[in-house]
Amino acid sequence: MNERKRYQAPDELDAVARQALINLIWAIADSKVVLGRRYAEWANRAPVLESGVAAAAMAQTELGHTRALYMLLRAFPEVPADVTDEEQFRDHYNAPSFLDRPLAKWTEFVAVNLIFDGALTEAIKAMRGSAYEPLAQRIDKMLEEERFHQMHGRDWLRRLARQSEAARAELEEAVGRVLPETLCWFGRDDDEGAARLVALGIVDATPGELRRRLRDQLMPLFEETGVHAPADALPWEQFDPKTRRVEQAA
Amino acid sequence: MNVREGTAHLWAALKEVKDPEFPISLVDMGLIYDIRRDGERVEVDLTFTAMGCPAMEFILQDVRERLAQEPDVSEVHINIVWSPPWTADRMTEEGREQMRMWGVVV
Repeated sequence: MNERKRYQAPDELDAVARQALINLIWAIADSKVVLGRRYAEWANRAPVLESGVAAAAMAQTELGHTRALYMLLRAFPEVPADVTDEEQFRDHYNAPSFLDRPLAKWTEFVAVNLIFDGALTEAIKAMRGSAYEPLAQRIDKMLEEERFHQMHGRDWLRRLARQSEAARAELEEAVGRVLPETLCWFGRDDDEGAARLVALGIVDATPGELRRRLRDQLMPLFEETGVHAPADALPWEQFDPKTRRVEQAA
Repeated sequence: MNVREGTAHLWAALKEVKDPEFPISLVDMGLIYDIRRDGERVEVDLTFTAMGCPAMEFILQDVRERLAQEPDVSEVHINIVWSPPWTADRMTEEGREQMRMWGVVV
């Protein structure tokens, strides 16, 4: 992507790219805020002490990333000030519905850690060398800090899958809840804004390509561990591209 | 015009500002990437070891306060930079030695 024109500020982007970039950064930042909170809630109740410490460390990383991402969003005057004020709690976040409440079981924590945290990292990886300079400058550091999250998720999936049939069944239930909405989270294949970001070199992959990359990461692991993962029929009817949420029926 | 001339004493000043987690200076930790000046206005490029560094605000405050004590500085502007990411390779030999004294191998 290095040969392309590079952009230093929002005003240099066309309206479609600008809106798509806001939507993308907002979704990642909000998701990391809520994910950080959900991680932190397990700092004191993980099954082993080391994972409690890991949960706290991962929470701190996610919250650190949100700070860097909201700083980027502040350059866009159309983003409301209360969104980028990380000190302020909001009623609504552009984060997946499975993060609306604390993660009730450790198996849910592991599914979110492996699948959704992994999806966020795929989305960030696609911004390496981004033509939007303020974004490009933050990516390598974020990716370096995320490496350990993926290792944690993978190790725990393997461990739980071989622990007992009951643990594996519980894990499958959690994966079934997290995976479909996560795959939708990248956006629809025909999303015009996402295509524009690819055309300008701001990201290097369309939503469909990101979905494929995440599947390529996860499916061999599910196969190896015998965890059944429903990844084909996605709940597009309930998906809202603005918030990137799958709205659950009340 | 931002220049690097006349900043040696500012580097020396920041050598007195310690990382709150380890008593090692920000300069020896390799957290200060650049210092430039335009008359009495000083610009510092600084990074942190982690994006979720809980001591960020303390460090920024300490840098501002220390530089403001210099008679030829009236304004301090800090840019937080993440590229290139910090690694232990950026530490000075003095910093490494101190780190070893605290029982951390780098």
